[in-house]
Order: sequence, then structure tokens, then C-alpha cells
Amino acid sequence: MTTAAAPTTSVAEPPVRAEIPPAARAGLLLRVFRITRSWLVLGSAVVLWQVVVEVFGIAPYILPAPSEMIASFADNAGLFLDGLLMTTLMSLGGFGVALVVGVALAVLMARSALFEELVYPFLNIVRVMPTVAVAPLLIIWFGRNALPIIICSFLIAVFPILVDVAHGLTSVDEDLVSVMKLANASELSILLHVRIPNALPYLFSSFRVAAPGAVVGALLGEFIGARRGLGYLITVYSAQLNTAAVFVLALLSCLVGIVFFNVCVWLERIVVPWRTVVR
Amino acid sequence: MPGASQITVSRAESSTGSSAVARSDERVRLQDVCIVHGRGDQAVVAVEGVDMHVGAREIVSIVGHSGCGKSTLLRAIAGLLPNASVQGRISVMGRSPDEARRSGLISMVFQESVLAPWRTVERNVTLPLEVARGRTRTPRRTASEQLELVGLKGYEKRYPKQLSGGQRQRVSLARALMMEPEVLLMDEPFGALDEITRDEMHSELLRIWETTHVSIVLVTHSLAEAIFLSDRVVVMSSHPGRVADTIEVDFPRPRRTDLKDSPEFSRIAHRIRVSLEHNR
Repeated sequence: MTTAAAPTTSVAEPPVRAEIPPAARAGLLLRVFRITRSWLVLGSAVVLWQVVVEVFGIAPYILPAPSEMIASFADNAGLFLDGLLMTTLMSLGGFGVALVVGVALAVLMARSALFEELVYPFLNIVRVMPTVAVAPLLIIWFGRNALPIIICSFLIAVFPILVDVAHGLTSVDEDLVSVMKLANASELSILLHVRIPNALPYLFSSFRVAAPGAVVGALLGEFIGARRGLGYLITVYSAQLNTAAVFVLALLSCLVGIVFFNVCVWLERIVVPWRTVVR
Repeated sequence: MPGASQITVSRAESSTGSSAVARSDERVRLQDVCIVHGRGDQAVVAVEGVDMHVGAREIVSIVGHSGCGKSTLLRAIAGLLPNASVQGRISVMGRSPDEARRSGLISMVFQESVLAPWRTVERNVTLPLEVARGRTRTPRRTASEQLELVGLKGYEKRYPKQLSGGQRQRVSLARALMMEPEVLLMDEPFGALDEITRDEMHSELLRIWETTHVSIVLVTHSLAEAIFLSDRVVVMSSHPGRVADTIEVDFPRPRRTDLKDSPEFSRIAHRIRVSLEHNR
């Protein structure tokens, strides 16, 4: 925040700007170029891809041309968008549960050393357990429905949230806690007025890992046992060697992850403007 | 300032004798205070046999080498140490530190301003009042007036990040005074500031102190700071921390910055320096 504000407050800038008005138009073009240049690079890459596939005659099941992907999407738009919606819902579900459970466990761990001692080793086992290995088990237990998918999503998203929030709750400056104690504040007040606000930047920082993680978890669950969703569709189309469709589905999966990530970054800027934890 | 520069030096042992006589205007009294960190074989005696007193409207400084337990002593007075680690008698306004803390009689300012970055300056100043349990009296000054007193009028809506180090420490002081404490404990409050700002803060602290009725116990590394601000400087020795010397500073108040350049001032500084040398 401060670094962003620094140039506008500098005394030297306004006169410099006033001296060279003819350059303003060129400056605007330059700015448009600056904003769009990464998209230009992306566009060029897509064109190059198309050209390469056509010139070298690469088989569509190995590397489909972008035009074939667009055609594939147009043919199956309804099905694909349904998959997109399902995966988004599953990811949101997993992420939501991870948020509630992660924060609750973090508060308990920060408040009670005994709880931390008893629960932490167990949590660590769950944490290192590969979700791929657990997913089939979840499907045996809960069937081919939304629940195992949400649990997979939850399992990947919960640990970043838990670990970061617990850190945020305990990394409060002890002197600030002393200030609160000298005001005869209760432990609850200290939690509400100091520990939780202090943990908020850590929470939002953990979202940067947890949110894309929730999407990966949902895809994984769908991959192993589902009848809808992007993960399920990928298994179907890859079995048919429909590479163009798989590419489209993979890109849609990326889209969900990117949207999740960016929404979290945006929320972070709004909710915790005072500090961003740099990872 | 003729006659103002008398230096009275009393050995710690000699002051012990008068400790039985409780003075009515006394804010803080320490009698034979020992502080032990840890237990059993790992127990370390941080502070031993400390006697000290702070009267009404007095400023008392504690100086000593790093690790002599002066900050620990301050925390003991604040009632922030576990009861088991403190032996001897500490009374603040005739109560135990814990009771005094619960009654909101003590405020503290630390080396870092420890403001809540998510709160505006004004809401930082009111934070202790918002969370104070069982507090009925309303403060005489509003947060705005308190900020005006520390020279930060118009800064209410700013965030700590937008302030300089000196300004943040002023907010910290305003927050401490918002509770209208009887005793203000300051743990190297200006240690993180540059020397020019620090000099300015010395005069400012005295100006603010004149308008309140608070007694101050100040822990510092700066001899000039201790002498300029205090009525009495307590010199501590290390390992374990003991009171090596108590030096009365009789300069009249209000004190001006150029006092720091006077020969009397230097003589007291020299006296303290010698005392510190002898009590490593």
C-alpha cells in the first residue's frame, strides 16, 4: 500500500507530467500495450499452435489444433458447462467446509495446548496421507455421489488454512497482549479484538493455496468416482481418445482454479487492507 | 539554576531500613523482591533483593546493563508475571500488582508501539476502554482530546502504517493514558527512535506528564534520558539483578532540553557511569 502510494505523493512528478503534454497520446498507447501485452503473447502462442499443427499434420488425438478445441466446445457446450458448474459447486463445498473446520481447529489449537498436543500428530498423519489413496475408500463408504468429492476437496484445502490461521492466532505481539491484560481484558476479548484480526491476513494468505487446492481435490474426487463434473468428463473423453475435448476440459478446470484464486486475492485486498502476508 | 544540582546518593542498604514507614503518597513499593525464572535445576534468579519506591507524581528510572532484569522487574510491577516466580512484596497503590492491574491502575508503554494495524489511530487509543471489564468511570478526556494532548490532533482516522515511528509512539502513549492510570510503566519507550526524535519525545513526555497526575517508572539504556526525566535513578547490577545505587536528581521542573548540556547533568551522568562500571 505504502509503496503504491509513494509515487503519487512525490513532489517531482506533477511538473514533469506538465512539461510534456504531446507525449500523452503516445503514453496512452504505451499503457494500452502494457496492459494487453501478456494477452498478445498468449494470442500469438495460440496462432503458432494452430499453424504448427496444420503445417506438420499432427494427428488430432496427439495434439488437437485450437480450432478443433473450439469446435469440440461448441458441440458439447451444454455438457461441458454442466461439468464446469458441478466442479465449481464441489470445490466451493469443499472449500467452505475446509474454511469452517480449519478455522475452528486452529482456534482450539491456539487456545488449548492440550488439544494441540493430542490432535496435532493425528492431523499430521491425515495431512501426509495422499488424497489419491483415500478417494477410492471414500467412494466405497459414501457411494458415487457428491459427498466423497467434497471430502477430497476439503482434505486438500483444510491444512493450509489450519496451519496458517493457527500461526496467525499465536504470532500476536506479546506486548499487545500485555496492553490488553493491563486493561483487564478477558481471554475472549483478546481473542476477538487481537488474535482473530491478527490472523485474518494469514487466513487470506492461506486461501491462495487452499482455493486452487480445493479445485484440485474436487477434480480428483470426480476423476475416481462421479457421474458429473469436469473430472468425470475427462476420464470419459480420454478413454475415447478425444484429446480435443480433454484439452477443453483441462482448460475449464484451469479456469475454475484461476477464478477461485483471483476472487481470494480480491477479497484479501478488501478485507485486510492493512497487511498482506508475503509467501 | 543555583542550588538545584544537589546530588544525593543513597546506598541501597540504607534505604531498606526506612521501608517499614509507609508513606501516604506512595504509588509503588518493592520490598526484598526476588524474581526466579524456571523451576528446579533450571531456575535462574533474574532479580534479587530489590527495594524501591515511587511516590505520587514521581518519575523513577531504572538503568543497568542488558539482561540485568530491569524489564522483568517492570513486568512484575505490572502483574504480568506468574505469581509463583515473584517473591517478596510488591504493592501498587497499596494493592498487589494483580489487583492493581485488574483495577486498571497500571498502563504500560513498550519499546515498540504495538498498535493494532487494523484499527485507526483513534480506535487504537480506545481499545483498552472497549475491553476493560468492570470499569465504570468514564475518562475525563475523549480519544480526540487525548490525541491532541500528545500532539496528534487531526490524526484520528489515520492508520498506524501511515505514521512515523515517533508518531506511533505518541499514539501508544495516548492509549496508555486513556485508562487514566495511577502508574505508567515504560519499557525503553524511546529506544527504537532516532536521537533527534528521542530528544523531542523527552520534552513532550514531561509536558504531557505535567497535565496528568501519573507516576512513571521508566526502564532505559540512555543515561541522559534517565537523568533528564527522573526524580530518581535506580542503578541495577547484573546476575542477579540488584539495586546497586539510587541517585536522586534534584533539577527543578519544568526542565528544559538545554539542561542536558549543563555541567551538573554531566556530573550525574558520570556518577551513574562509574556505578555501572563497578557493578557489572
